Amino acid sequence: MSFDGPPPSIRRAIWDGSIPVQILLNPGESRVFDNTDPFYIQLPRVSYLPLFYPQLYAFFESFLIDKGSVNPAEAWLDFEGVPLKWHWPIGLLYDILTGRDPSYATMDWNSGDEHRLPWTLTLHYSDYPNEHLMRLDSPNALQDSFVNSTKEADYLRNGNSRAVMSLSMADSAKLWESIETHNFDTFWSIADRLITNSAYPIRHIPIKVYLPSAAKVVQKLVPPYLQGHRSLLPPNPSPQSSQSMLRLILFNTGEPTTVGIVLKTMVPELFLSTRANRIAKPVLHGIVIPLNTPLVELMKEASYPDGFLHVAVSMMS
Amino acid sequence: MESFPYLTQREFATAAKHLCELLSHCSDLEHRLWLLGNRTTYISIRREAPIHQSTENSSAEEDELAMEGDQENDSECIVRKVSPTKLAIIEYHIVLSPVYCVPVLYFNMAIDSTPASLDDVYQYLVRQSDLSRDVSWEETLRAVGVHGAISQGEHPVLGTPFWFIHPCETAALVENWGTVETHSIPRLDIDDSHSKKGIISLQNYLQIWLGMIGSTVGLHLPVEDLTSKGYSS
Repeated sequence: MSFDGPPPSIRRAIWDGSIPVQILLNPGESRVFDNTDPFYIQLPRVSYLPLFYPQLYAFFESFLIDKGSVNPAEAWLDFEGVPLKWHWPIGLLYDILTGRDPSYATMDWNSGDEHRLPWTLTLHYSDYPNEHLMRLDSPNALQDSFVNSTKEADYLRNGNSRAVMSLSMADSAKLWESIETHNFDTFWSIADRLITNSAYPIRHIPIKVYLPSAAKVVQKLVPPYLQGHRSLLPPNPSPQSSQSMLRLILFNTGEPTTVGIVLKTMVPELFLSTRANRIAKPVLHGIVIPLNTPLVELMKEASYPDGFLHVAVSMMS
Repeated sequence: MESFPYLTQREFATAAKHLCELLSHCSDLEHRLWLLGNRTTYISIRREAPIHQSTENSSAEEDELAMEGDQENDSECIVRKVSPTKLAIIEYHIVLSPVYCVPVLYFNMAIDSTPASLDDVYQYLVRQSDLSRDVSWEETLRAVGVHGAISQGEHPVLGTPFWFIHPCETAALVENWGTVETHSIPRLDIDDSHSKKGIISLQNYLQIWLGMIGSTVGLHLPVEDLTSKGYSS
């Protein structure tokens, strides 16, 4: 399979993206209240929080009031009182929860904005917010969630999950290990087969759009190309049907679907135009993406490791 | 159905109405149909079940989730002193997956208001369903994926954590069970396997699906309802 996209350095840059984070122990759980030493760590954007929980426990263990009664598997983090969903990639959590417009990053820093770096999070070992967070008490919970997400992405791209399912046991294990160990080369040696597999025309772009504050996720079936050719639809399509998935487009011939088109369709109240953003901006990997970016290209270069484009919507001030 | 075994949002809404009619005959299953605007989003079904703990042996293994008909089991009751009973509340949600285009069964269980773990789910829901079968659902479910076929996920409408049965095999299951009625001229059934298949319509789609999926986690529709309520047509 030939690789004819932009140079792989975009993938590298995304993989290497990280956020400086300051982690504080919840004062109520510390024997020195708010005098606990903070923990500083540079967290990779494409990684997941639970992979760092053992490190946090090792650091904060000696500060805990009642170490004996603490279960390290009950760890959770919050940002300004909002529990962090551990199954979302770290970069997405930052982009959606800080709601920060990356174009003004430097200015924010100078003006002492409350969202300036490092990103400050609070660690808890008690009162696990069961109604907001999925449980993390089984050893494979994170891997299970990641694999389900890769399957879903695969299903969207190909109309089945065969590419993920047909990975050998060794390759599946390697794929997950590459996330655990944050290994770029191992990851792409396998993911290239899934994400840029061009044996079949791509049916849908795996994309989720996250709205600010409500933490609402919008997901629709997004064809990679606009349907310019009605004759390609199966005969007698029901006019009521809203699901384009059921109308397989055999040839990708139309104009590519752009970020602007998808946002205007999914979140019309925030994106009035497909070309200019006046109310909100789409943020991916901490970058404002131009509305005219074709989704197919974006998918090949800028998907998160689970195969999805997780786009956070940031309100313009 | 436009693309059997897949459902469109509109077809799901029709199928959901039919299932709710059926559920209204099941007094132990409290159900609701939820709408967003005028769009059907999901069906919720609530079931309460006391968990009897035996006093002789308080180990969790001996706990029993009361099933219908348990009260009749006199010999068991004499031997086992039924004692502080915990209450399991199970909330099942039937949602159309926007990705897989098939219904997905989400569920949550709380035992005395404590959210259930995956072990609880297997112990109180899956194993209880196994009691009446030769083949173990537990083995079948655990053999799939990293965790087995039961995963955690966010409810697509509510955004809160739920357990769910992974839908990647659902389309195949439904297709295996039956076919859509076609209006073509009747033909001689040379293919024997074909003639044994059931006929699936929007009237019975969710009922058949629930019969296959729900029973693995303790959601049973009374069998007589499957046949006697005019669903043979």
